[in-house]
Amino acid sequence: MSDYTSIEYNAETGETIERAMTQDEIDALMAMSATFMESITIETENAPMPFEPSEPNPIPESDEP
Amino acid sequence: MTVRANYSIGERPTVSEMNTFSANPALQYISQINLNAVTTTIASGFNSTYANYHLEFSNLRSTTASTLALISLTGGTGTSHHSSFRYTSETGAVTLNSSASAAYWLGIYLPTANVGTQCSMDIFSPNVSLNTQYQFQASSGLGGSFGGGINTNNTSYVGFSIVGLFGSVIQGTLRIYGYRKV
Repeated sequence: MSDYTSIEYNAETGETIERAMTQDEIDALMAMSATFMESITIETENAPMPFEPSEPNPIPESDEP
Repeated sequence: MTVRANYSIGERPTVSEMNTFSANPALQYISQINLNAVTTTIASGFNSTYANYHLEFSNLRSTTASTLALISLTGGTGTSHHSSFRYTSETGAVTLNSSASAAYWLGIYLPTANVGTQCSMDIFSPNVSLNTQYQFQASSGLGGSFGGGINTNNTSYVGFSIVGLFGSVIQGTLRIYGYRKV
């Protein structure tokens, strides 16, 4: 059995069929993986801290004279 | 199912009505599948009983970091799976991607190896001749993600697969529910 295991579960009968993925299936998955690695975007610089306002809150005007 | 909405004060539902309500919840449990493979295909997962489905992924994980649990509607052809996601970590770092693929939606991002992701996903109109769409939100690692996509084949799909990017083994529990038609 290949490390690339495919399990088919029949939702109606509950039966499962286990098999090795075909070479075509593996090739398609590797192509998708390569495309993902080329196109993924990871933005880490100047990332805003969560829940931290970008500007200080304005000081409310006092009602007192 | 006929739903009464005109009960008067003091009037009680009949036993028959109560049984009808009990047998027809808005969200109907269908099945549970334990995931432990690179590819898990749920055949006969969609049928005409429900138009829309809810998927609950619990403790979804992989031994590979920064990978995806791809989703594939079985029988898809052409460049028909369009999708995107955005993940934000607790530091504010953002990971995002979009894809037009023959076979896969980007599915669920799994940022950290061996750490469970909890995900709530809806799939709309998989078994009717319309575009099939999905959306999800998930808590993953030390952050959260959301995303979605469309399949433009207008095909009545009967099943779907969960596939680990890079050939990663995807583990976890999947529960499938159907939204009751009104």
